[in-house]
Amino acid sequence: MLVRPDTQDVRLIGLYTGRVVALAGLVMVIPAVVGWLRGEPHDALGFVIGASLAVIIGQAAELALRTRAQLQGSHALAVVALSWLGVAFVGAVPLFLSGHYATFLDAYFDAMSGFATAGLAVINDLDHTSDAVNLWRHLMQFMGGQGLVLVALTIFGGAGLTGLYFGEGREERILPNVRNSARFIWRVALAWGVLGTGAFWITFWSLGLPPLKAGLQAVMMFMAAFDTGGFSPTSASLGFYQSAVAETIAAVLMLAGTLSFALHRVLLYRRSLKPLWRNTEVRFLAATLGILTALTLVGLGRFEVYPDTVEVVRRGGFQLLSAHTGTGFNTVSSPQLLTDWGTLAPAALVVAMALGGMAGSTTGGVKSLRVAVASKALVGDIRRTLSPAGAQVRTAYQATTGRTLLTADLARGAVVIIVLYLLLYGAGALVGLFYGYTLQQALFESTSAAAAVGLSVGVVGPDLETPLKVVYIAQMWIGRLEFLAVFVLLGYAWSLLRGR
Amino acid sequence: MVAAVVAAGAVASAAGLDQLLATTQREPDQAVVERPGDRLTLTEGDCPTRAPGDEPVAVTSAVLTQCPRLLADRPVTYRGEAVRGIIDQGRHAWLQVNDGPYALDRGPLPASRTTAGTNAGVAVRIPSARAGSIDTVGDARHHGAIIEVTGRWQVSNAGDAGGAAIRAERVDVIQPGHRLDPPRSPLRTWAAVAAAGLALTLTGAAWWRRR
Repeated sequence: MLVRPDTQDVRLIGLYTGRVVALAGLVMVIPAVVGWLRGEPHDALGFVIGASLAVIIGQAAELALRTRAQLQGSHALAVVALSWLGVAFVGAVPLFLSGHYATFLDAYFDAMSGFATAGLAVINDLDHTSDAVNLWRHLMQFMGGQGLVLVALTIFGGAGLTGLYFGEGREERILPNVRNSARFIWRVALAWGVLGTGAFWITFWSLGLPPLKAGLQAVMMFMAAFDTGGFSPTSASLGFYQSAVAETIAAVLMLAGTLSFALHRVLLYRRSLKPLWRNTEVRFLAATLGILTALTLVGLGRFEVYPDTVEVVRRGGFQLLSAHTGTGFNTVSSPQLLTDWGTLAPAALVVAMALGGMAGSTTGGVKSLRVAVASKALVGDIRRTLSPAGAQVRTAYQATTGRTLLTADLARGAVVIIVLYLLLYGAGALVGLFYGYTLQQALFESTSAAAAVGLSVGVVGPDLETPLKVVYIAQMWIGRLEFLAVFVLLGYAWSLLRGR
Repeated sequence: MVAAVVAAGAVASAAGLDQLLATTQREPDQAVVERPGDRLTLTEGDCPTRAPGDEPVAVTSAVLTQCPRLLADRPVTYRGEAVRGIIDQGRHAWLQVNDGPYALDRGPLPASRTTAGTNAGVAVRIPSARAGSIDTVGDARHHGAIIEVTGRWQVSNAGDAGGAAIRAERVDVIQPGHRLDPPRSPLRTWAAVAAAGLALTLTGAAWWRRR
């Protein structure tokens, strides 16, 4: 029997959504303060307005919707889906007030892109944006990558919020207690933050940037790299720094971000790399990364894009890694991917974007775990067919938590999500084709949006057609939450509309 | 009442349908390689196969980013605004030089308050000794110096750890950078005070109710 939401259900969903939205308002205090300190009062006031609006929504929900009812699983999923829409709304307010967006929809596009860690942007004149606005764009990616609800869990606590944890595309508890899992994820981010920001800071400083500017850009680039977001404080993205060292630091952070937090814990506590090599998902990730990198390099070599091999490896390898980890940093210009990279290399980028990184990490896309499970299930079926009648054929895989028997339910779940992602990529591409873009352009941008990557061949920009902006926003939202939470929210909405 | 809402919705939908189905009319890229008697036109997604001769030609960033190999190793002149910072690598320095409307025509968005799309530009490698002549780089509070560079366009600069860029032999500052007037809006100040006041009031009310 399907859920039949009543007033209590609506109150609960509204109350918890308000709490998560209010949290985004509290985080906006950071760019507001930075704006004041950096002599950007106009934008700082925009953040005060945005933060106040978020707190007003949250506190109004506290006053009007307070209830003693307990949050159930389906409520939690609906709250997650609605929270992401609400948080993007308040997050877009200071962006819009900055004047760098022609419409509120454009600001909402970038806010959703930030929280979903996509990195696609329709901002006007990025190279003249204030430090406050730039910091907020990257903070959105940091919050989204860590998980909005995870942020709420850490700050507010409460038993009810535990149910929200699983709605954000997280499949496993790292520790038995969800709050402890949340704390562990923050500790990992903090440790990488100190290392990554420090390394970027030294690099940018040594490249001649003033210490304060270098520090701010280091913080932003860390958040964009580790949370596989891909925003950048300059329109030239990572290519601005013209530095192999900066690219290497970014590559390490992107790889760290694409490994699951559970794997981080295993590696940390066992102090051995053995679990890394034994893990089925890591093996699949390494295999697809290797194969697709080879295809990219062959494609670049075939079309003689670069005059020397070192450049082919450096540019091609980095762009592929950026696509596979779902980050979206550029070291070549967006139009060049379409006009100068031939056909094989961009095709490899599309496949890499579609696959994504590990489940339970900060990346988007199908995830290597699901591809591994589906592949192993297929091999198991073939072996079963070839085995004598009555023979028992069992398939297992090495998960982060230990050896796991591959059941029919697990295989079905993985295949269903893979099919849903393919449909999502295809749907966005069809709309792009409707607006006259080539198949290559339409598929590239659609996959980039739905898999929360952020690479572009130049289609996404302020002059993108309005319906396509709406479609890409929906793709980023649905793809980041991995379908279920969105379906539950739509189910609630449908039931309410039908009056039962 | 309901009929009025439905009618309004129908009108709005019909009015919005044109917009929904319309494809944005993007302006085709302007002629991007120019010299007397020779004019190449770049169409979106396509690179011309014919390249000009060996004399410096004035280029825009559009042709260099879309068709990097068209002018590989060719002498070019390029004009634009230095933005965000100067990357110093010892003998050479790197600049991001934009030639879009925010750089050359309308000026930075914080001052002009009119949106005109994304930034467009290319990287330029200049001798470090010339970096000192660029007094200001563009950011939220500054319109950067407008410079004109003459040099050779390189698809890669692997030897200097750089990507596609113009290796400039000559750098002329056409217009020094200047500070932008910060935008002011008393209405925004009052709106922020009012919103913060309401937020604090509601927070207090919620706290009092919890107690």
